[in-house]
Amino acid sequence: MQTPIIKLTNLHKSFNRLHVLKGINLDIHEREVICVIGRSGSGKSTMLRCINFLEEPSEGEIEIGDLKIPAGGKGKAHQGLVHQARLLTGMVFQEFNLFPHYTVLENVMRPPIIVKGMNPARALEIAEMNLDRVGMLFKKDEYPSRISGGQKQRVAIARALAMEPRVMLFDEPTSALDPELIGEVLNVMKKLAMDGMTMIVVTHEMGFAREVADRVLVMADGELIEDGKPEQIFNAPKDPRTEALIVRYRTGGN
Amino acid sequence: MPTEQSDTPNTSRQSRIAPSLERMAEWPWWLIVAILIALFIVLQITTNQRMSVIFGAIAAGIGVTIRVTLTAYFAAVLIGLIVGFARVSSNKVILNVASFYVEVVRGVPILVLLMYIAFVAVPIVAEMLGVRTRDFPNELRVILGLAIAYGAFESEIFRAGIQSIEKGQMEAARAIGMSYFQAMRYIILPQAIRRVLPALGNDFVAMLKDSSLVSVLGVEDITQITKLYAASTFLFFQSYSILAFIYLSMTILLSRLVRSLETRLSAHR
Ligand SMILES: Nc1ncnc2c1ncn2[C@@H]1O[C@H](COP(=O)(O)OP(=O)(O)O)[C@@H](O)[C@H]1O
Ligand SMILES: [Mg+2]
Repeated sequence: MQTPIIKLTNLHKSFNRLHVLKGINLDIHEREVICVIGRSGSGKSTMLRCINFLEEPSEGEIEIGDLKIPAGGKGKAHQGLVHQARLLTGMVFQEFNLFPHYTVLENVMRPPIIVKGMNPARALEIAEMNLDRVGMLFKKDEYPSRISGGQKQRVAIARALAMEPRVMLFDEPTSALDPELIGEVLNVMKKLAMDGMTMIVVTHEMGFAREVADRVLVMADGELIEDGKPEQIFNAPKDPRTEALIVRYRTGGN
Repeated sequence: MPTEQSDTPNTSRQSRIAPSLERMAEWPWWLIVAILIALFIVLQITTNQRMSVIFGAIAAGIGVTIRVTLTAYFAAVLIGLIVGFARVSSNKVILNVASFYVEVVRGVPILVLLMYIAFVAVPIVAEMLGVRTRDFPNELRVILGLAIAYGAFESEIFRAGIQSIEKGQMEAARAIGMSYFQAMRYIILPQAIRRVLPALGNDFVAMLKDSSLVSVLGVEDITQITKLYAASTFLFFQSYSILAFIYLSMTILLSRLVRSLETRLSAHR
């Protein structure tokens, strides 16, 4: 098998005395779509945020592509690695976090210009292509305040894609959306998965996980308690906590 | 400057009984009185020989007042921007140095600060640089003093503005690959500045008024000229009325200007 594009080794994260991640080991290969499920507070967001160093891991090592980044690094060299790691990953947040002072087009077009020094003509081309890909080109001159939540999240996806990352990270991308707007975002993500994008998706959308994921990870209390194909996780969970989780989802709770 | 309220007409039931009286009670009478007084003063200045002489003498200082206000204000905004950044820094040394400056300056009356800078700080710095204190003109000293005083206020405005931007904005910018400074420059600051524009505008007007403090150091702005003029002619009432009139005209004009600038900028989005 080829070398993984992301490899987490014994990853720990503590906030002061709160031990949130307790030794995560995980290999993710190119073109895999991974869904992460687990109860609120189990550490899903923290794991995702460690992967692009929005949180500094306390212990362990993260490998992304050819980069090896041990926890606790300091100084210029470490910063450089973190920067490169961020360029390899695109992040989509629950709250969209579009830049409100930029138009839809500028949201997607300006980051490559600012970060990579890309020439504006090329950035425009890439931005329009990615807005088209998420079906948002028709709103390119609007400000984010004037589009719906589902449309904002699609623009946020386009913004991440425009940086041409190798892995896309999604942290509950539909949790802040009204139910009728969830579908359009999931469809965009489905298309992305079919195009072969490597994706890690923290989600409560079990239908999406079942249909799109190659693997489902279950987190509980800062550990990965299960890692398998969706059919196995949903039909024959090994851990009683997974079973409880699935029952909760089935009965509409979370 | 208190902001004016737009007086909405009272449409309660009683207003039908005495509609015109009711409505008159809602008029901005203070404004009418103020305008009448202003008109009277303008009339006096244009028709009364003595008044126009006084006005001419005082107005000669308008250039100094405006120059002091503008330079001190822009220096203060620059200081405020830098110190505001420092106040949200995670570097404890930078944070503490900035906090020391802000807290000390805010706790001392501007007048005292002006004298301290002019008579204590500047001579010390001059000595360290090996130049004569006399080479620092008084106007420069007071501009420095006003800038340092107002720099502390502006830094608080910028700090509050930066901290009012949702955390997700910085996170999104960093996740995209921007450096801290790129995120500040392209994402946080443009939003923060838009939010603090009204406060910055208010302080511009306040600076215009506080520029009168420079008269204490003998800088010949309109206040200083009035002081001298009134003392030598004993025309206190006329001189100070004209002085107040000039300040009021300038502050009202400035407030209007600032507000129209704000609406233009906020209309952008
Ligand atoms: N910045 C932080 N500071 C302190 N505690 C945090 C921070 N972020 C997350 N936590 C805590 O870590 C735990 C896991 O949080 P999180 O990773 O957001 O869980 P999940 O995404 O699975 O709901 C929670 O107990 C949460 O309160
Ligand atoms: Mg979460």
